[in-house]
This record gives sequence, C-alpha cells and structure tokens, in this order.
Amino acid sequence: MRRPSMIIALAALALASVAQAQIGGIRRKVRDAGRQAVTGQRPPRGAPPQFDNTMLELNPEVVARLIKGLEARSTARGAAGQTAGQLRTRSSAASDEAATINNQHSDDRAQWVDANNTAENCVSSELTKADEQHMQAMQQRFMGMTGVNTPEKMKFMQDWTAAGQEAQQAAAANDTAGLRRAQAKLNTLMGVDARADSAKARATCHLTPMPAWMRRADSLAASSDTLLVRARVVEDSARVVGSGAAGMTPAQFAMAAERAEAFVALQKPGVVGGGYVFSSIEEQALSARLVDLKKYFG
Amino acid sequence: MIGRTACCVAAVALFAAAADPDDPAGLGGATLALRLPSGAARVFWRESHAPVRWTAADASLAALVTWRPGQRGVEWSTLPITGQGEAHALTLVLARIDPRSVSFDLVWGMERDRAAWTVDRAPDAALALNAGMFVEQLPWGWVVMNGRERLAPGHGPLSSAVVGLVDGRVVWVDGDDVSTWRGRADVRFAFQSYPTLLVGDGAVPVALRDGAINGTHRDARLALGLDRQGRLLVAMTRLDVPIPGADRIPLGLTVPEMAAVMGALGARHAVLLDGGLSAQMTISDSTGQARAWKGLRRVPLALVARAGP
Repeated sequence: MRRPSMIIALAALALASVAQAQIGGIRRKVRDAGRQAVTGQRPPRGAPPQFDNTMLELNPEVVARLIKGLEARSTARGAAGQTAGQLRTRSSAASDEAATINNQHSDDRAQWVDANNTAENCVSSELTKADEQHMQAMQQRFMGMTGVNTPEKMKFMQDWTAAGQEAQQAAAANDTAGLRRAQAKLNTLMGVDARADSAKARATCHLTPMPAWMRRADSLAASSDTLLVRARVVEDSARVVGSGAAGMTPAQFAMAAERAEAFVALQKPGVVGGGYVFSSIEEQALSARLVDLKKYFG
Repeated sequence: MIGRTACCVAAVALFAAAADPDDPAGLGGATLALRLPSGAARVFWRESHAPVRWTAADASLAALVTWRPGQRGVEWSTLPITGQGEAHALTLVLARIDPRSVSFDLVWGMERDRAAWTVDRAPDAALALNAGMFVEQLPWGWVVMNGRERLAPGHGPLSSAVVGLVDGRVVWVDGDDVSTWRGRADVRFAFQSYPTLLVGDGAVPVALRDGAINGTHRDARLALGLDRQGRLLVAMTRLDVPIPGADRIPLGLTVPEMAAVMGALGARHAVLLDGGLSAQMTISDSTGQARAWKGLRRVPLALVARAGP
C-alpha cells in the first residue's frame, strides 16, 4: 500500500540518530518545537531509533534497487498482457468518452428514462389486461367442460394438472428455468401466446428502444468499470513483482517505495524540506535519482 | 497491506526505542489533552483508563469546541490538543455536517493512469475531503457512484462502509458485509475504508484495544464518523509546531487515539480515511470563502458536500 505518511513518520524516528550528527531528526525537532510551543521549555532528547530489516536506509545502492523494482512494478502485466497503468488509462478513456456522450445529451437521457418508465408501466398494464382476458377465457373453458367426459377433455385436464404441479414444484425449489418451462406449457394449453401479447402491448404503448448514443455511453461506462477491476488485480500482483525485482521483501519494498514517494512530494514548492525527514545520505541518494523517481511518483 | 504491515512492525520497534521522556517506563500510557488558552492541559483520554465504549461526547472537550458556521448544513472548528511524542502539539480540524441540509457527491479523481484529485478542485464545495483508503493508484474496496458500482466490495473485519441514498440519507455499515445494500436502486454512492474506529453505538473495536492494530504508530489522521444526531463528523489532525510548512508533515495520533477523538466528539460510528500525505480537506465558511488544509498527494476519490439537499 502507498503509505508514505507512515514511512515519513517512521523515517523521522528511525533517522533521528543519523540526523543528530547531520541535520537533526524531525521527531526530535517536532517534539522540541511542540514542547516549546506548549511549555516554553526544551525537553531532553529521546533515544534515537534505528533502521531495521524492514526499513532500509535509502543509500545509493538501495535506491538503485528500488528504482529497478518500481520499473518492474510499473511494467508488470496482467493476464491480458496489459500493465495496471495501461488498464487504468483505458478505463479513464472509456469513462471520459461516456461522459462526453452523456454531456452532449444532458437532458435526453432523463427524457428517455421518463418516457420509457411511462411506456413500461403501460406495457405492464396491457399485459395484466391480457392475463385477465386469458383467465376469463380459461374459466369459460372449464365451465364448458361440465357434462360428459370426452377423451379430449380428460387429456386436457391431465395435462393442465401436470403442468400446474410442475409449476408449483419449480416455484418451491426456486427453479426459475423450470417455472418458465411449466408456464410455457400452461400457456400452450390455454392458447396463450405470451410473445404476441408482449409485442402487442409494446406496440400499443409505443415503447421505444434505447437510443444508440445511450447504448454506446452505457457500454463505455461498463467497459470502464471492467477495466478498473482488472487494473486493481494487476496492481496487487505488480507489487509482488516489484519487490522481487528490487531484491527486497514485499515489506521492505513497500516501505522504501513509500519513503521515496514522500521524498518526491516533499520536493514540491511550498512544502517543508525533505531535510527534516531524511538523512543527508538518503537526501543525496534520492536527489541524485529524483528524475527517475518522478517517473513513478511525479 | 504489505506496506502497512511493514510500517507497523517498524513502528513498534522504533517507538519502543524512543520512549516519552516524561514517562520513560511507559507506566502511565498515552494521554490526550486539550491545550487550554491558559497554557494548561486538560486530559480527556488516558490509554490506561480508555473507555471500551463511548456513550456520549466528552463534556470537557465539547465545551471547548466553538462551532463556526460554514455553508448551510456545515459547521467547523479547530481545537488544539496535545498527546505524546510528535503529537505534543496538534490541531484538530473538525467539521460536522447535517446530511439533510447538503448534497453529497463521490468524485472520481483518476486522470489517465494517475490519481489526480486535490482540494483545489473543489473551491465551491461546502466541504470536500479525500474518501476511502487508497491502494497504489486506485481506491480499496467498494465504490458506487451515481448508482453505478465502479469497484467491488473489499473484505476485512475492520472495514466500514458509508452509503448515500437517493433520498439524501447517509447510512453507516459496520463491517465488510455490504450485501444488504449492494445492487440496490436507492444507493446513490458508497465507499469503504479502514480501520474502523467505533462500531455499533460508540464501541471501540477489540482489535484497537488488544494490540492487533498497531497502537503506537503516529501519523497524520483523517476520520469520518456519524454522531448520535445523525450528523457526519470529520476530524483531521495537523501538526501545530513553529516549523514552516510543518502542518503538512504526516505526524500525529495513533489509531486508538483517533478512536478516542471521535468517541469524545460524540461519534457512534467512525472509520479512518486515508491519512498521512493523502489527508486533505476544504471547508467554505459562511461567506463562501474556502479554507483548505492541503495534502501532499493527489487522490483517486473524494467526498464533496454542497449546500442544499
């Protein structure tokens, strides 16, 4: 994870001993300044922290390895052969294009959605009417079946009962495909053509298809999101690749990268100098490779 | 996660080596106190007597917060506090927002392949701050914008989610199970972050009390919470020492201390947002003049509040 803030804090602490002989550590400076601000007194110095196996001193050799790792991280490719940066760029491009299209039709989408909602409600109402008509027709048909049982009537009743049971079982089992099949059988027995009903309702209600520009915008947005998800997967794996290339443990690499990012951030105008949080050895090593580091953190 | 683990491991060693000169044996544990105008300090939290659950705002702290009007629905304040070590002189930048009086937008801040959002991009906002936690360039966890899920939920027991509904309400989700809200048509925006600072009704998670979460590492912090009146609470730490530009140096409170700050402010739920170099916030005062506390990093996601529902 990018945690330069943690690194700076830790760096400030870890480097205090080095800084005593060089520039003074931020930890002590901050503590002293803070105490002065509060009490007007200077406190005794705290025990100096040390580098350890997780926080490596960013000397020229370590910085060189770090840059090698950063390069490997930035060029690591996912399953589809693209880097996280490329996937992020493609995602941004797709998102930007979708936004441009939507902006060009800023009011059109809302109008279409409103019209579509009205039409969908109308279609729903028409289909309900059709269902009621079919139900009435069915009831009349059942009533007409009183009297002598013919083989045709018997077969109809058997088929109807079987399809009804099938529908009940499918519903109980949350088997939507089975329910659909059973419903189709019942419709056939009732002489119902659901597809024709739907087409008729849609025509009656003037249901209009989604405009091409909206389909395109929505497709681009979905594509942007898919690319984003893939980019995040590649980001995760690239961190492992980067640490391997740097010859560091993932923890060492993450910490070194974050400290380097902090160093780059602290070079910006108006920001307190990096001298407060890095030793002179690190300042020299990082300054010498600042152009390279800006490629990754600029 | 790797970086965080590394930092935590190192932090334990380093801070152990750099004991507080006022309490070299560490017997008293950490404290947080208000810095009073008189120069005295009034302690409002002691690690050794830390509440397991905050049932109400700390009266002594609340009494010293002078809420200033911002844009409609937003109030803000600053509060000088003191803690241990680098936290000896900090300023808390506070804001509370009535969700019924503002409209929130989650702003996507990626440009090409890089995070690009800073508070400079929201000069007209009633309030804006970086949202969520960031991994490499992209946000961690769940991101829903304008009703569309851009990134799937992340999983971790100490994560929280903030969900903005179409009707303007803001819902807080403790934990990583967002299945109740995922895919719902009435969700306008959502994001996740970690670690959780307060759950349920002001309870401090066990992991913040038993050492599972590093309790010694100090960093600039930014936290978001929900108080008992349904207002969003924001607290950001800034170093307050006479070194030019020091307010942007990422040193500040520990995670348990930040939980204490949010509890003392009256939060029921709270979570950290990305702090350190990322932490940044802008608030417009009642005249529309923006006050910005800038960060050192561009971020991919921001929460922006504008006056008016």
